[in-house]
Amino acid sequence: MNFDDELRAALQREPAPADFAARVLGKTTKTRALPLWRRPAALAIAAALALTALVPSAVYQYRQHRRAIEARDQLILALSIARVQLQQVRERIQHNTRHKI
Amino acid sequence: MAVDFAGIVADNQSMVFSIAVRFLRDREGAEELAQDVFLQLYQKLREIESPAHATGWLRRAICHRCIDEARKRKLRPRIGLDAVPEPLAESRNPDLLLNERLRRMVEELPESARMVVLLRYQEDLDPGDIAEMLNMPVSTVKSQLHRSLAVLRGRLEKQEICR
Amino acid sequence: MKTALILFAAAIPGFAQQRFDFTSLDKLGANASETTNITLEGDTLKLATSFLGGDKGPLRNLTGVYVRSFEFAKPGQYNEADLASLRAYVKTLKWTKVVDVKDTGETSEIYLQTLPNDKLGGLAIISTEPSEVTVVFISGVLNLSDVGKLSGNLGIPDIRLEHGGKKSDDSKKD
Repeated sequence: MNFDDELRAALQREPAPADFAARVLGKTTKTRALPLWRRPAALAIAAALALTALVPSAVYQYRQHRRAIEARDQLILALSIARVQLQQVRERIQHNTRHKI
Repeated sequence: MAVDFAGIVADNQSMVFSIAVRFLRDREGAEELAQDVFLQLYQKLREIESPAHATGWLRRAICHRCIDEARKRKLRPRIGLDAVPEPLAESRNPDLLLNERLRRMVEELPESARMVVLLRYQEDLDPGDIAEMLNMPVSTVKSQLHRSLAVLRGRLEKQEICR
Repeated sequence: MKTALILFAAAIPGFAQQRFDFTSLDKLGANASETTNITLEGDTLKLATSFLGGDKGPLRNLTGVYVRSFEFAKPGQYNEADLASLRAYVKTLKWTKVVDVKDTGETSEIYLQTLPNDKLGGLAIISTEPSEVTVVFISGVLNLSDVGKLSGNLGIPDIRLEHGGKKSDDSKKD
């Protein structure tokens, strides 16, 4: 089994608790009983609209931040790949040197 | 097309719970979040066109909720016994032990890499789908996979040497 | 499954030089089963280095970081001749080839441009194996003592060791 297969085997889904579905369905009954304006989704939407009006640049800043993080991840990966390659080259040199002695 | 909510819960509860518990490393928190996500879906049931649509929606929702929850936790650290990994039970089955070790190592990966690995190896999504789901470039997804596998392999080899 | 990595770091400040078109290497990976493709330059590179010290950090003078890494399902799926343009480009830069190792189907080449005062002007690594090709190209000036402080963190290579230099005492301060 190669490493990919070992990872897949290790990460097979963990079953939800036995009563999970019953609890979810039970909560939907309670949610249905709330008046529309008290439902969590409605409140969340109202809060989001209020925030959007107050901080219009937040979305732009967030997107910039995400771009920066992605660029950083790529830079780290590139340098990490360089390190691995330099190590491999060193090992090859050492291997060749040992064999010549 | 009317979708059967109970059926959606039954079909997707393991997927949602498993992503949450493996990402958050906290069973109680994962259950709470998983329930929340299903309740969110319930609010939007009219927009759901099919069981497949529901699965995609749930997967995306739980990923983003997990990432948000992890960010919140960084600001207010929680210390709970259920967050402490239990000592590995002695097992005569080397495969079981290997699986457990691999799971623990995945759970120790940085958050972004952890989610990418879970979506690739637990959910079997390809890098393009993962990129779309997590709003990141495909090259970043591949970078994180490359590095994560190298880290996991290295740690596993180190553990083998020390055993 | 093997991978070839070509690492390129080129920095010749003050000189107008023809830039290498890294997209020309993409044909190497036409049959690749796995590809890593990184191009960081300009504003994107600035964003990336802002996390690693920014304008005061050791990577502040980098101008480009490029990676092309291709893995193939079996040997013989890439054309070594596709690397010729890259090697020709490095020749025009007149960098020193400090490593040239060949070992049963595997080759490793490292090119460096050393500058005065413990600085590196460019770094290129071209690594080939039967089922893998990797190119890494970093352009920009690297101050080796600064890089030493970063090495070990985030996978930054300690190029001074690889260059045959000794670690200076400042690396023992941590």
